[in-house]
Amino acid sequence: MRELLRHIRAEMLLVYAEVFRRKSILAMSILWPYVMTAFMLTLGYVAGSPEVFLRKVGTSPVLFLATASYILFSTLAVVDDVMWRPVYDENAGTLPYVISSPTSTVMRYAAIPIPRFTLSLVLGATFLLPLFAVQEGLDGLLSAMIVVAVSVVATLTFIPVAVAVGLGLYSLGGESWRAINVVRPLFLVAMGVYYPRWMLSKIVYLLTALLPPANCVEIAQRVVVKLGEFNELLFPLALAVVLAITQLYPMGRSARKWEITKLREGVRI
Amino acid sequence: MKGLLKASIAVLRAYFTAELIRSRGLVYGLLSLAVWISIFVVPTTLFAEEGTTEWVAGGVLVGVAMFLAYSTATWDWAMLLRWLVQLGVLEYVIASGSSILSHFIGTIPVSLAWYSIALCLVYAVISLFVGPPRLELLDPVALSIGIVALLLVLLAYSLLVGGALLTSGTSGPVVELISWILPLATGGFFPLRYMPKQLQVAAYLTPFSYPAELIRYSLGVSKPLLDTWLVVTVGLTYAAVFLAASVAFLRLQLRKLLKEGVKSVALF
Repeated sequence: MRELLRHIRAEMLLVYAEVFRRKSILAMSILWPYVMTAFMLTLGYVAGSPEVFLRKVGTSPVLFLATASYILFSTLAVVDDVMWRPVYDENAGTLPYVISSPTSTVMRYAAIPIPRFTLSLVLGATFLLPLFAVQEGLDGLLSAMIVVAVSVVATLTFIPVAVAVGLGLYSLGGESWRAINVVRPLFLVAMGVYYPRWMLSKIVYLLTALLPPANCVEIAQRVVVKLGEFNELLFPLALAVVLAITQLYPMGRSARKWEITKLREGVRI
Repeated sequence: MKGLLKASIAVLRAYFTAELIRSRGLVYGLLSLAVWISIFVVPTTLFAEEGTTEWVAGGVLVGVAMFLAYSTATWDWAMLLRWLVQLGVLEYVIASGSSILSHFIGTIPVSLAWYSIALCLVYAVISLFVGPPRLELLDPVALSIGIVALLLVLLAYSLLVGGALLTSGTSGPVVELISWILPLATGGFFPLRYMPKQLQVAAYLTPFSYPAELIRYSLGVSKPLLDTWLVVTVGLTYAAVFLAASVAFLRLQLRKLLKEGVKSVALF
């Protein structure tokens, strides 16, 4: 635990130093969910009307898509940071130092997404809370707080599978950002961020439920649409946590395999 | 000029071999695109009434095609300079006396080929998830002028962003944000007719809106707010001026770079 905290502290220093030095990144992070929501709404309004959306889904497209964009940003923080870090390390020439350091790769990769994830909590305050408060008053504020809390679980339960898949891919094919660029959106499809999960076909629903954050996305969507009782929401939450725990083993295996692959191939120039 | 052409062909060969063949960039790129497009397209079915899918699909296809063109200019052309910095190649290009423009010219044919294939893929994805798109060719001349103006504007935009990246350091997220906001705010993604008045004025103040309006009009998606030939005249003139200004800007940034040195690569 102490080692994990040391890694988190180091990552926090690295990322926040960058964020505060280059305020453009901070501004971009705050704007990003607004832009994505606007983009999706625009696309929707080109295709039809908000009334049809309300009839089909049961809530306003603004709140639904805003929630989706927020969850997308929080969870992408994990995928991007975990999966791109080996590429950045290789480009910057720091990969040999990382591999030769005596610290645990698993701990390091568990810590990598935390700083940007904490940044996404700030986004909850700057994006989701005001939007829900304006649209639905105090009730909306409560829904937004639940969504932010659910996003914490979504992000944390995403780490094992992201590390397992990311480092697993790198072990097989080297530090290729191209393969990651395919896997990255595939995760988003599987989570069903922009589509109500209860409207998916049963087979797709069951298959995608194996991805822990997909269950959290469903909770967030149901909270926004006010669908289901509190008890019904607890099951997917518990499922996400249990699945994440079972995925800790492949995470460790992938990290170890990647480390061994790097040690075997040596420094590439 | 002969030297520039020779360097451009060398870049084209290197890019084609390294990116598309050796790294299987075409396959990965198209796969990634298909998945992203399906993420954005599928939710549109939640907004559409039954029986309107043909026209919806047509409008979405043109919107995505415009967005894809902006993305190509951003990621293939403007971010090319970031890649050159990241790979440590830029110093060699400058020291060799070769123009940076050779990299842009060398990349364009590959980008255009990629764009054409990607557009077919987008058509297939939209047909699969929404329905077969319906478009009508109303005015081939306006379409040709629209495409030429779009190319000029996007080239100018990429030189502008690329030049800014060279001297301000490298920031992927900022460029990503620009690549999303730009087509939204300037009518690339959405007909100006359906935008609020203030945004319409703001969009017409930029060179981006004119080609988009022309392409949409010529394919029967929506009519421009202004007279078609006024859009043609202003659009082409504005595109040419924008390109000249961007080339001058890039030259200025390169001169600055020679004085200050190449900026370091950032984390993101």
